[in-house]
Amino acid sequence: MSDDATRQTNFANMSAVLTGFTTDVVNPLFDPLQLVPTYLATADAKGGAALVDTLIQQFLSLTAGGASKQQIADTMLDTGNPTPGNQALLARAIVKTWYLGSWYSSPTDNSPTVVSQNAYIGGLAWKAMQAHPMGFSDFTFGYWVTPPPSLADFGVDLPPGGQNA
Amino acid sequence: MVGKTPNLLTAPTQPFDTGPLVDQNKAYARFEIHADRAMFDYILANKLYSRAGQKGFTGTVSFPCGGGPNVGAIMVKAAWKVLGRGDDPSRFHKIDALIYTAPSKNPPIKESCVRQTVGLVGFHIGHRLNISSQWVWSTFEQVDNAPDDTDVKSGKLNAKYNFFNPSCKDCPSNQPPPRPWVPNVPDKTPTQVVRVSILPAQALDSAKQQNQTAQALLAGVSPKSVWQYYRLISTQWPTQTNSDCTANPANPNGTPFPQFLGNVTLETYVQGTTPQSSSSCINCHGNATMTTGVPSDFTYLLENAK
Repeated sequence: MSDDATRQTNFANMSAVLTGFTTDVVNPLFDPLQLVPTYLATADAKGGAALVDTLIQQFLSLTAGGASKQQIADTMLDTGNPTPGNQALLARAIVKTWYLGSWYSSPTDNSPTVVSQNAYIGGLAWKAMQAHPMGFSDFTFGYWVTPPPSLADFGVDLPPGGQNA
Repeated sequence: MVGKTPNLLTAPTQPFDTGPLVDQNKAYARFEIHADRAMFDYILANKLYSRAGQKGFTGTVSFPCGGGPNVGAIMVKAAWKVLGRGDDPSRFHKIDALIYTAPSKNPPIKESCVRQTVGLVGFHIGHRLNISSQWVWSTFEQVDNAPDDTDVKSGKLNAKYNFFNPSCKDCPSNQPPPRPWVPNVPDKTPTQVVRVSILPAQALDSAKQQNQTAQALLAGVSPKSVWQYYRLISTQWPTQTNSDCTANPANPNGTPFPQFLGNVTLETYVQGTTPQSSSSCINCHGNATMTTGVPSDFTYLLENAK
């Protein structure tokens, strides 16, 4: 695997842990939407490739140290800290991009950039809501009369107890 | 063709009334859909051929999936053009067909039925498989249909196309003719069809390889084979699906690849890359229902039930 491919895989694995979705959803074996390379390029361009590399190294280090996914996410996102440093801010921006398909340059950014149409329809927020993007639906006619599929079907990386744990 | 009865071609417009396709001889192309035995038997057994039968159907429409010895459900949609002035019949799969035009008051259309020789210009093959409950969709075209948009830009054009006039510089591309659409009267406006570049390199390269292999095999069978003048445009398949003829309910279309796919003779006016509106076999057919509004397993055939 080339250095670029390894970097992309590490970014995808990090994204899965930070977002709470399975790697199959974040980085499917064959991805027509190409979100991983798109988001990595966006993070490099907006946050700086050096800081992205530092973030990936932090992820690899925490993983190698045996930290749980929750611990890794809490550490990298600096959860609970109202004034996190640039590294944690970058991690938060990457999570927001995965969920909303838009890049927020800062926590107070009120006019984020929509990364692409595929970023919009591929936003994890829709899956977390067990819904579909406004203006785009893969569900069959009449889907609204039945309960939505489970969070597991949508690819949420659930704890061992499942959806209600 | 069955026995001595010619094929009957009726449909003169493309899906969702997006428009007719008018060839360079100003004749309307005609469209038809066929189902294989497995699909036919399923429709028959479940009485889905009539509105009353569909109303009484309480299950989920699920056509047989192919796998192992079972072929599974296959449907074919085809586009035909009348072979006329300037067309080389040796380059077409051709049949004698009865071309029927239904009468209408608005616009005023006189009923007609004429026997003509038509050539195949495009077709889809949809096949439902255990590993692809969303079906696998391959689309093919006669090679003389239309130039790519890149050919138009660079000026590398052939002398003649079925649905493009190289000498017309001002003809707007991929626009349906103005109404009224009267299929049995020559239209004033031949369609200026251009293939829009929407396929990723991976899909283009794969189709190119498949075409080279198939065309060499066909030439080996007969150098006169008309099939050497047909080519695969691409095949759309679900990238995320199960192997037991089911789909993830949270991803019923299985994230198709390529994301968009169209045939210039069957989806002339919806070529593009806009989700939910540009041509995508699986995403479009995923919306298909019976006359009752119940999903019909990716076929629009059942909405024709009377």
